Amino acid sequence: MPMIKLPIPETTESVTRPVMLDVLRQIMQLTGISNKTNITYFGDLERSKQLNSAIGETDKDDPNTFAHNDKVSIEVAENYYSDLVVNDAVERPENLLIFQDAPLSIVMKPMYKQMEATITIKYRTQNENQAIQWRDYVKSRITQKRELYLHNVSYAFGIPEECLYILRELHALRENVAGFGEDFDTYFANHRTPKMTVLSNLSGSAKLWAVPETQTRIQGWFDWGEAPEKSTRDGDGGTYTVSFSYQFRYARPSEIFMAYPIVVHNQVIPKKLREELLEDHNDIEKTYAMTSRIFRSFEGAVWSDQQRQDFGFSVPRFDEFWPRMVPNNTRRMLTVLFTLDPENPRLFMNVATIKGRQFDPDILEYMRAEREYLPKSSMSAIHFGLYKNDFLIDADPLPFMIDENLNVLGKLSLNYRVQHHLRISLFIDWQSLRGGALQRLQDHGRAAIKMLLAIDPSLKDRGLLPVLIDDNFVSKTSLLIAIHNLRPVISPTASGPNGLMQTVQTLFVESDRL
Amino acid sequence: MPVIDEDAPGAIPPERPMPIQVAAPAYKGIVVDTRYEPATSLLTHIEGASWTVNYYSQVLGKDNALSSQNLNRPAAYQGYKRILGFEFKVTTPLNTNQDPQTKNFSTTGQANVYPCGLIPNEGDCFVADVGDGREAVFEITNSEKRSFLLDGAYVVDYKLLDYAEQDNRLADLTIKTVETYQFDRASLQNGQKALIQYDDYNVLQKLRGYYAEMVDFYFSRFVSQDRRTLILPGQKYIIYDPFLTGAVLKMFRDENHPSIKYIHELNVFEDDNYDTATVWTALLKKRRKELVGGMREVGLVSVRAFSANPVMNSVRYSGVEYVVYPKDPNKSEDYRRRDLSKTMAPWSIQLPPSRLTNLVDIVNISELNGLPEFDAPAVHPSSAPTYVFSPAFYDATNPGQSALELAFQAYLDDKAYNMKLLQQLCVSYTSWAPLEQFYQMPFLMKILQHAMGRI
Repeated sequence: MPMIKLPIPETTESVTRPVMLDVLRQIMQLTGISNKTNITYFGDLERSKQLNSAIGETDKDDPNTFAHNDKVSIEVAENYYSDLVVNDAVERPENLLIFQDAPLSIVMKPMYKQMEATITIKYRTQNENQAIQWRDYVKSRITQKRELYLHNVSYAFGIPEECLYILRELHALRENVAGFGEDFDTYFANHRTPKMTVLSNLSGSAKLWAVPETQTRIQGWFDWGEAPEKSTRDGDGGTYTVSFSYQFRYARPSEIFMAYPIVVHNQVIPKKLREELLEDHNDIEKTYAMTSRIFRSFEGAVWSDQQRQDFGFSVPRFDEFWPRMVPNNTRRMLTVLFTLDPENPRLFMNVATIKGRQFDPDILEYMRAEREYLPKSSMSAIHFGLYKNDFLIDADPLPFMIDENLNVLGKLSLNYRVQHHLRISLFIDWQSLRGGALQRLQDHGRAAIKMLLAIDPSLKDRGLLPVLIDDNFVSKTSLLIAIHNLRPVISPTASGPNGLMQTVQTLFVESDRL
Repeated sequence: MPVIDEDAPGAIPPERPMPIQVAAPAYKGIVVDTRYEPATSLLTHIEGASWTVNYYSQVLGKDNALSSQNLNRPAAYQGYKRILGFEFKVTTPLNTNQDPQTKNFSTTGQANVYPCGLIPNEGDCFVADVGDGREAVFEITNSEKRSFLLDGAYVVDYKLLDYAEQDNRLADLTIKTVETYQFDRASLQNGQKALIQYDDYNVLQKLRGYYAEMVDFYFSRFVSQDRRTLILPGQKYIIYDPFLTGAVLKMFRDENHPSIKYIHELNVFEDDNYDTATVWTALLKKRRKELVGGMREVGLVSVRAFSANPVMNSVRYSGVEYVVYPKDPNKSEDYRRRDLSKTMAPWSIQLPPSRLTNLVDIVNISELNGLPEFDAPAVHPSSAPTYVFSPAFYDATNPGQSALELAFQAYLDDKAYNMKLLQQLCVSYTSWAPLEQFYQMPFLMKILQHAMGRI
């Protein structure tokens, strides 16, 4: 499932400036600075605009400004709030979704950065009297313990056009096969948050989808102790200036996280919407130096995406299928994402001829003999599981059957609107095998030895592998000895006693003095 | 009553008596001339060489800050007002330097900007020809008002950012354009607004074209070289209209057309009856009152009725045979008492046929469908019974008026013109009959002038 993070197209004009000016105006009101006072807050050019050049500023009586009027100038410094620097949610469930198509697993949600903002305010008064009065007023507020304020800030963050482009492509696929007859606007309207709105320029020619938000109860505080500093005379004209700063923290929207499926209504999404092929670690022959081999033992504790791919293969390689549930004690050999052939929807695939991956002939022969047991967990050393989206389809009644040519044939008609996977796994707890599975394994000695080696390569070193008799037979005793001594490599996909809990990583270091 | 209503406005304090004024009212020692000197008077004083550019002025709200062109900023957050054909007065031509280390070019210049409704800001962009057949995008790096008076010219510094190519800055500027204007220097010189909405400008340019054609058409056709004045077309006798000639000479100047200098007003003013309000005085004074009780009907009077004294240089010896004479002039009491009315000729002005069609159906109806006057004829005949226009015009009744008459009514009342209709008139006048062209085209030309001034 591709998961992408796209930057919100604009945050300076849409978030930072509105937030800072909101807070500033609230501070001005709270400290008794007239709301008619001219505010200077430079943008990237660090220049003021010419007077009367903004919309609504056509005051012919006031064609110029001079340096002797009331004025508030601010400078803003915004930094990531260091205490929360690793706490920003990316993929994990934290922020509210702004778009969700649950049946197709398409979601969009904003990501926020925790910001620490410092507004440095320079207040110029027209005369000394005004400066003293303002300071007295602020002092009174402090006496009343009112120097800590709560703010509300409002802004709107835009949705990147790329997100909408992807959504349009996915919607087109959704309607192409087994469609719902919904046009894009209806589809979008039905699945987006009702808060979402369209921003436009003055002529309405440029439009942008955006989500308006108000953050409330933002706490801010001044940097002064008992009172603001005394104002100082500022050049000619009797003006006085005082500087102080104000701090607060808020969450600034930064990116939109989007996740979508690889297959939409039985069609693989276009190449441009997919990631590059994942590097499959099992395709690389690895050697380690001693230290890195030791460290590698700890790697299993990290559930990285690469680790997930570490046990078994996926077809196609860009599929990151990660089922929510697997049968107990199974280890993935292969997961196959497949679509249905409209001409022959019952034939899912042929296991012997999967493009790019080939089973060992001995294993194929074993599968062929075991084909009626394969869909049933613990009835055979190999298990076939059919998945509808992330969930395993119940094996009773059997959803599919396997014929002697190893074709997987559906017994239920499948839905075009969901994703299907076939998971072929190795059952690793052979002590729990039932229904004559062991007897049948005896008859496929070569396959049994190969599978035992895959579960525990150390059997060979320990001399515990069963011995072949008559080319393809192993004795029950030797097989049972091997099974009793199995020490399976830990598999993250396994649950139960051999499973690994997802918890805080622990590293033990043992040292010996030689 | 006891529970306080949150929404109630609160008590209004009783009015206090005027406070006692301790100091004397401000003494005004110097008389201030508050007359506002319009910007156009500065026009001739702005130095520099003209450079025509397409200017992109940032559209800013009160809380917006100036910003350079930001290619990654969505158009909803950054908008420009595009001004086509804007004129810079360049004082420092483009000065190019190459950085020896990075080999990057730096191209800068300086120009003056007219006070014409455009206030340049840092971060504004313009696209201009840079000389080798390519256009480049420039950014204003400094904008300074040259005067603290109400209107002042601005001096701007600018820097070349990049060549203007459709896949980079130019495309972005185009997408971010909120509205388009055209700079019109002629309007600026006339004291009118110089930035014209682009659509309006197209109309204006069309009207200007029509106007020039009309002036040429009128004077090349109706000026009589023989009689050295304007003569009614298509008549059996040589007839002169002192009302029309006087008005036309007031409306145009010699430089408008080479033939105008031949037009002379013939002397008929020994007769006080000519001193009356007519449609012509209504046109020149743009005053509806001139029509109320004004002259409605005319007849013809032989030139023999005029003074025979050669010193007067009277119309009698001008070679004209008949003169248009008012039948019902509005006169002052003095004039009424010494009534000198002349004997009218038994015939009146004849109506020559159009060279193309017979007056009606000239306007292409389908283009005007749905407009209020679409079924009105373009013009009514300019012959009897009423002078120039139809009786419906004089009575101001509708329906019954022609399209031109309705436009003239709109002119008198300062109402908006129907531009489509006006353009139709400008196309169709060539097929009017000669007499209607002669009498009614001056009205159309004046209305056009007025319409152009209002854009």
